[in-house]
Amino acid sequence: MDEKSRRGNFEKLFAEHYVDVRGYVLRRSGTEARSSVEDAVAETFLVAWRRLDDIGADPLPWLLGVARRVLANQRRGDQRRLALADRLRGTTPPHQVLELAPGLSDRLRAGLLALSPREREALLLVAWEGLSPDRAARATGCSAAAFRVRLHRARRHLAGHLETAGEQAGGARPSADWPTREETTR
Amino acid sequence: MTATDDRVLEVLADANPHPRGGIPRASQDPRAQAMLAEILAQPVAEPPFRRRRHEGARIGIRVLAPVLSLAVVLAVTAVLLHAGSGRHSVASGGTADEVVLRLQPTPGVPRVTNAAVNEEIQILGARMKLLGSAPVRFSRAGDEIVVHSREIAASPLARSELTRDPQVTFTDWEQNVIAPDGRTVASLLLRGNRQAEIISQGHGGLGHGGLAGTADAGALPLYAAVRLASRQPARAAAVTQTRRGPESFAFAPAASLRCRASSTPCWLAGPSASPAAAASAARRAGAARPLVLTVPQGTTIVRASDPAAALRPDYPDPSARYYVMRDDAALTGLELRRVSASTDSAGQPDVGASLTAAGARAFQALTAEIARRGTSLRLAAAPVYQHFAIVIDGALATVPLLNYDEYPDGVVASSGIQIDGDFSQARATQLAALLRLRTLPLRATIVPG
Repeated sequence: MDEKSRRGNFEKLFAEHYVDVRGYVLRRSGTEARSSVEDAVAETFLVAWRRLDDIGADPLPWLLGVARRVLANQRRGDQRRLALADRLRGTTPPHQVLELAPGLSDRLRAGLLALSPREREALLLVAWEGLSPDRAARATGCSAAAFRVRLHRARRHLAGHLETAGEQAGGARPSADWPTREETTR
Repeated sequence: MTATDDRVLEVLADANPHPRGGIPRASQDPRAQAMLAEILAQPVAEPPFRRRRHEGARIGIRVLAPVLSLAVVLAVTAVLLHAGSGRHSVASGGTADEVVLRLQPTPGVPRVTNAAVNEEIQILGARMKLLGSAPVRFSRAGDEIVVHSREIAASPLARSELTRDPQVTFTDWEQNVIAPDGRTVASLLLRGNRQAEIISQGHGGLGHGGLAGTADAGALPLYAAVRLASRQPARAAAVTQTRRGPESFAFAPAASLRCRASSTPCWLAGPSASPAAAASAARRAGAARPLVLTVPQGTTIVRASDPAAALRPDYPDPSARYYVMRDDAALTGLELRRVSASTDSAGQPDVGASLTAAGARAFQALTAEIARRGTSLRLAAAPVYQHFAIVIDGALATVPLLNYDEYPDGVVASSGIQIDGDFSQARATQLAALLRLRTLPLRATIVPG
């Protein structure tokens, strides 16, 4: 691939998937601090620019897989910095680096955070990023079969959590649009 | 996917904190343009990794062992990941390593239950084993099952076997087969109806059992059978039926361009779910004005038993013969266990099978009813043996007779049954193999990738 066509291909990739990658980073970031989001998006596309030849015919799962790792690295760095600051202050760490954007209801956030990170990611790739299970499997780097099992478990666990949360809140449903147990077993 | 699963995804999608429509496109976002320019200014190659030289030349075993162990672990992990990662080169139905099947309820099993899914997996495993496959691993995800096998994923035959739904039914022959005048054979036997006697007892007449269900024992050409079936009343849906709704066939008129060699209308299309669909298929086949007939729910067309032919209808074949039957199964292949070809005490090939408890009860009830009818007919006339039919995929596999002198209260099948049918060894083996595959409790379709 010559330099000109390489640039052309990357510009096309960037134009087509900028919204997807930025949206993914925004949804998975506990902060909307512009610098963190910008950094993660830029880092993701920089990896894509350097490894353009490795990207297959369906770039989005690949890009989201890179974005996930970039965010994980960011979080680890943030946690180390926060932990150091806490130690210097002599306090127990009050901070938690969130993996979800603000704006979710407390119950849904609690339900999502109760899942394992893998289950949460499986669910959100399908529900928020709109990926099919097979594409989402590629984004997470596992087989389609493993992903489907993981997705199924995640849905069950979240549904169970939301139902339990609704019952603990006096038998009310988790939200107005959440089905009752009878409706779900029909 | 269940209603709960769908609902979880809907609730989550509604709660998406940053919907796609709220994020500006790259071309409209100055930050994106600046970012793009910055990235394009970066060198393509990553900085080379610095290699550290070992200052000492000797690597002791204490260092080497963990390094080697790590290398082995990494190699094994890489192989496993490679095997499990799934290459997405297959056009549909999972990856090159697996096939994903979606399960749907059937008339007999109206809900996807754990028991039904386990049964489905057991039967599919048996089918794959019969095809010569190595033991296959299945995993379940809700109403989907995943077949983990590169061999199966790559084989069109194996993939079709995963979804093929052979309908195996045991049914009372005389009670359900329809004579040319539109009434059941059982209802006509007491009246001495000659056509009914031939269909019941075979072409040799009364007392010559064993030929019932064959092509020369009152079977009809396809058009005549469909026309007779189309005049039957529609029956209410029941779990004993193998088909929901009507089915339509389209024929070319006799002696038409499409049907020159035939004195009766010949098959063009069908069975289709509606008359319009059958007519449309016939027009695509080049027939301007097809004859369309519709078989109502509760009635079915089965191909006459023919040891030389495949066990399935062959509508384009003008020599194939058919019977019209009420669609009313006494038991289905789901009730069969451990089917095998064997020989009886006289050395004649037969097929043996054991039944589930429910199947044994249903089989005894079926044969008791047949014996009761045979006994009452004997009182009225000469010995008239009665039969049950085994239908596989719309074709009569065999129509065995029941000796009501030996089994006046039906066959107690709790310890299994033996089916004689003047079988050749090859036919007995084929029948046993087909019965062994049994009916799938749930309809399986391959999920496109």
